[in-house]
Amino acid sequence: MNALVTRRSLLASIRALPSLPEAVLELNAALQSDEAPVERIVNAVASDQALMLTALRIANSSFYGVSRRVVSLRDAVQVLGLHTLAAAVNTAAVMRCIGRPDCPGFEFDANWRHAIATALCTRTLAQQHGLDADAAYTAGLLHDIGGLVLAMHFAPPYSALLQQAAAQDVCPSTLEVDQLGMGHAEVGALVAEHWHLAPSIVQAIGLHHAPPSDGPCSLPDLLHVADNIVHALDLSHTPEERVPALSLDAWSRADLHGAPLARLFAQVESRMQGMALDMRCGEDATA
Amino acid sequence: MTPELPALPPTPAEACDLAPAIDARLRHLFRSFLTQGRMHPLYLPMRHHRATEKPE
Repeated sequence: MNALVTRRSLLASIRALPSLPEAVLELNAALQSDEAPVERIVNAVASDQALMLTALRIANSSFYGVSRRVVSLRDAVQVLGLHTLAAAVNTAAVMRCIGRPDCPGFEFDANWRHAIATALCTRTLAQQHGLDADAAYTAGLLHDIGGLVLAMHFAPPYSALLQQAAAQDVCPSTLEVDQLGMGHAEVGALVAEHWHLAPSIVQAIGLHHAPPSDGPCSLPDLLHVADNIVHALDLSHTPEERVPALSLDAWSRADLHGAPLARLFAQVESRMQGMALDMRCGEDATA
Repeated sequence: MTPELPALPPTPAEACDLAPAIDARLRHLFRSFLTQGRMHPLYLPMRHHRATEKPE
């Protein structure tokens, strides 16, 4: 294990992370309630001007093809739908919360492209399987947040690990436990706990490289499969991109094949194009 | 967890007509498996997707 990284130092760094904005916590809490009242959600977003501006900008983007300018959050809810609005707001909030690490070998923009695409894919799969689509989106968005935290707070050893992985042409995650004492999936689950996200999201992030071997189709299964699909779709545009190992148990439970799988590929690529243009990956969300 | 599927012979689907650059990139993405003679469940569906998608 790298002497610079200990479990205690990792936990301390996670606890030192900023909290998600109050407006986002309120938004996510409202989404988890049985009623998900529009008024409560609109008020939550309206209380944070930066998030409100992001929501309005997205609603007015060419991707949604609106015929008139959206000038209010209630209009944005009508144009985007409540859950798409919430997804966009969560994305903007997380991007604003986490800075850009100075870690050679860590591709910040590529990681965000992958995160957003995985969020879109996981949400689609959750809708098809009758699972919580909002939780699925958030889990997808944050599934590799552990890597970002490692790059932020342990840049030298993590950069060395990334360079070693590149030299050996292996997934960095295969080296993390031996060299850092903890993999990015576990780190990510701890971050999600720190941000008071739903237990289902925490679990999915923690297990996204090792989904359960049995049981019914679950969010960890769908996140694992979505992550794999997004790597295969090559949406990060990095030279060293690779498709990781896939759990055949999770793949079997996801029950994807033929035309529905082909439609999923096309859908994720299409939505990713619109989302990336709107979110301007790596740039200030309020710009 | 690694998909321990046996090596498969080339199928008509695998022989999808792909531009050389696209074919090479796809094999690069799945290199962890192809170089060991193993098949990944997404490899053939992705080849079909690339072969049938409309050019930009």
